[in-house]
Amino acid sequence: MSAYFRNIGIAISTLWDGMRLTWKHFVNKKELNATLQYPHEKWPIPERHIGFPEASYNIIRSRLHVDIDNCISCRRCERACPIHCIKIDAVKAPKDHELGQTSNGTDKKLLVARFDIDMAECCWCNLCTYDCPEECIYMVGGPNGKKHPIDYEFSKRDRNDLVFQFATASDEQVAEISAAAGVADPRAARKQRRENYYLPDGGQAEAVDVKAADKADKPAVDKPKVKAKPAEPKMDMSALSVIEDRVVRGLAKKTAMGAVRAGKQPVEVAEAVKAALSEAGKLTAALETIIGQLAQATITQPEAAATEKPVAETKAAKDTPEGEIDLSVLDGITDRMARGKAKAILNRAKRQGGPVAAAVDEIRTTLSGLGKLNSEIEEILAKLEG
Amino acid sequence: MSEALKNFGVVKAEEMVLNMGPQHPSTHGVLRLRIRTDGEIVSHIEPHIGYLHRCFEKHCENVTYPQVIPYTDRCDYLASMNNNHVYAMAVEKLMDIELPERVEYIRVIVAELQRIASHLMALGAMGLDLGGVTPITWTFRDRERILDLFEYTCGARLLYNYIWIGGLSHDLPPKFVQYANEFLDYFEKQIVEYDRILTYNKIFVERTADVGVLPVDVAISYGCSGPVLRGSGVNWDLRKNEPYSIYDRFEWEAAVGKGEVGTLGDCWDRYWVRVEEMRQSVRIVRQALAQLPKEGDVHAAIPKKIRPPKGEIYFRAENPKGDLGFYIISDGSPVPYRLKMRSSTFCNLSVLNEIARGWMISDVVAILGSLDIVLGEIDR
Ligand code: SF4
Ligand code: SF4
Repeated sequence: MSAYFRNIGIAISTLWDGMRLTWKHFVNKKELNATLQYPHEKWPIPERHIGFPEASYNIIRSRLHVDIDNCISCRRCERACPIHCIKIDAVKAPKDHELGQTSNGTDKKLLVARFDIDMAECCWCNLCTYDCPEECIYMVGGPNGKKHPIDYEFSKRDRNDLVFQFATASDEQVAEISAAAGVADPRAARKQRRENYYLPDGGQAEAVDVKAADKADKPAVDKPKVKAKPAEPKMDMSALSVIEDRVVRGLAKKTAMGAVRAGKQPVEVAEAVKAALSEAGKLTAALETIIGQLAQATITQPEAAATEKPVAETKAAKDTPEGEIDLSVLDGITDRMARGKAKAILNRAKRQGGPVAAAVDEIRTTLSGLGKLNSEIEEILAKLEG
Repeated sequence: MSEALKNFGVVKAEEMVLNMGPQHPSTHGVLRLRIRTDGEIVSHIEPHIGYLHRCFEKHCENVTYPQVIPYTDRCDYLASMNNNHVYAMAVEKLMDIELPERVEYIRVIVAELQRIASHLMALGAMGLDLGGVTPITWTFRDRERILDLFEYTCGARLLYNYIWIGGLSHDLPPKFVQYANEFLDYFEKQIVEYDRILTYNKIFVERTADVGVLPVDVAISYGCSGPVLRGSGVNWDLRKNEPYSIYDRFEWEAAVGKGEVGTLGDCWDRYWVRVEEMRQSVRIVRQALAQLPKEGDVHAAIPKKIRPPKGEIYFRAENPKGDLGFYIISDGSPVPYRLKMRSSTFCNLSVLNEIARGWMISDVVAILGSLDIVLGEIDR
């Protein structure tokens, strides 16, 4: 009984206490209130210098900015980023083209044709800013920035606006320097590729894959090099892969490759590898047996002629039967199920390029198996054969 | 007697399966509970997870060691500093890095502040789940103050990438010690207020005391840790039992549940351990701020090239939610060969079926709140 009343007592007193606290917060809004009238009031952004010489470098991570005039396109920021949202294209300028210097006095040797940061992908880890040797990529938007006013919400109306493009070189400049350097103009190539993905009337071609287009950009510059590579004799070098020491393995593979390229026989290749390793002072008994295996490997000579298969011909051969068989003949079959089956079989035959007679036979057996074969169908099938 | 006659007069209700979540306000993120109920009594609970799976471990095999840190931020996003800390310590142990004193102190300060912030979130959310809307606004307000301190330190409010392998990204700002002390003075008074508005509130006590009792043996066999284990009366705190960093230099006590208002190991005990732990964290931060060495370069011990030697390591430490462990296999390259994260909340959640069976659906909410899970860490 007393426990019952004590319970009630505790309940009333704790509730009363809680209510009193709430009231205290209610009347003391200045100090204790928990909400902010957002568009009218905003949290202050802390002010802090990091110690970089650049005055507008801020501790606050609001938005990335690149002083493109100082960038030497070393791509360190690109490599530091864990999600690869920085994309850089650069053209190496030939000797007689001066690109000027950065404010730190470093000569710029590359022209930045593209410097895009997708801030919608960025995870604000700040890793890119620390690695930059010129301190030209940094977060802005805090109170320290004179150049960049406080960007509180950092919002955009369109998602595409979040891809910031910092490269300032003009199209002509990029074209001129790439022509002088003898490489493909990366910007023009990119533009072309993008246009190829869109139809001229403004509609979209199927499967617009902008990401793939971006990826395809990269090798554009050095593609001709890959193509120009002459066919080489190849040798099975898997025997060397068991070598544990990385340095030794690398050296052995390199020597072997060079020997094969020079047109040597397997035994000679093994000798060359052995000589190289003993010169480096790394030759052991275990290694010698491994190299011994190498001498047994075969060398495959390139077959230049084999690669030029007449692709067009095979395709043409495939195309011919398609023109001959006319599926619409089967539309005369009234039974729906029989029609569907017949069409499916004929279609398959058409695709595989098989003879029509065999397909008709198959239709006959299938339909008679289902008990659907009647004189009407027989007539049509006969027409098909004839 | 025939079968029909034997069951004569026995009313059998059919069991019902209820899906709670993945979009349910009290499942703390994207958790789906498949609850089998008999009337309103729970007979079986199956947590379904994976809605927030982001391939954390696989990602880590493709990025370099420093680049893993932003990913650890996103596991337990309420305690990013602690995640950074544990991961950095694991790699440091693998690489045998000696840290400057100042770095160790700063790490402990931010880690303990983050612990307070994480517990504040747990407190407020648990109150909210049980119908008390006021406390969460207060705990959020105070959590914001801690986040302000972090923003002032490293520029980010939630996902910091602040603790690096071998050091920190920035030193403390000039007025940090003063601001932090001001905050602690203010916060100590606030804990008393939480006690008054929530902890000892009769309604809250009625909802949580004696509910969802977790016996010690069950807790240990399920691998529970952190406040969930300590709420059952086990004195196990890695900061005390396996002191890492510099935790052995401070005077404090591990918070252990006592069964003050109900049975030992009930929801209220798990809740209370968190409140008590905040008090202890305040003590630690105060001492660390007082002892903080004036000199020291936070970048001094950061290696130029982070390439741990061949080998493997398992390192664990006390996160706000329990033991967080990192198992790293290194093949000598700048990229981890394999990285496994032992998530404390995953084990803590697995015990749910054991302790929630036989309680009502509304009690499941209380029990889940007292487990304090974060789906970002469970799914990874
Ligand atoms: S690290 Fe700096 S200099 Fe190098 S590419 Fe990036 S922004 Fe340019
Ligand atoms: S802040 Fe991090 S995610 Fe964003 S661009 Fe820099 S490195 Fe990449």
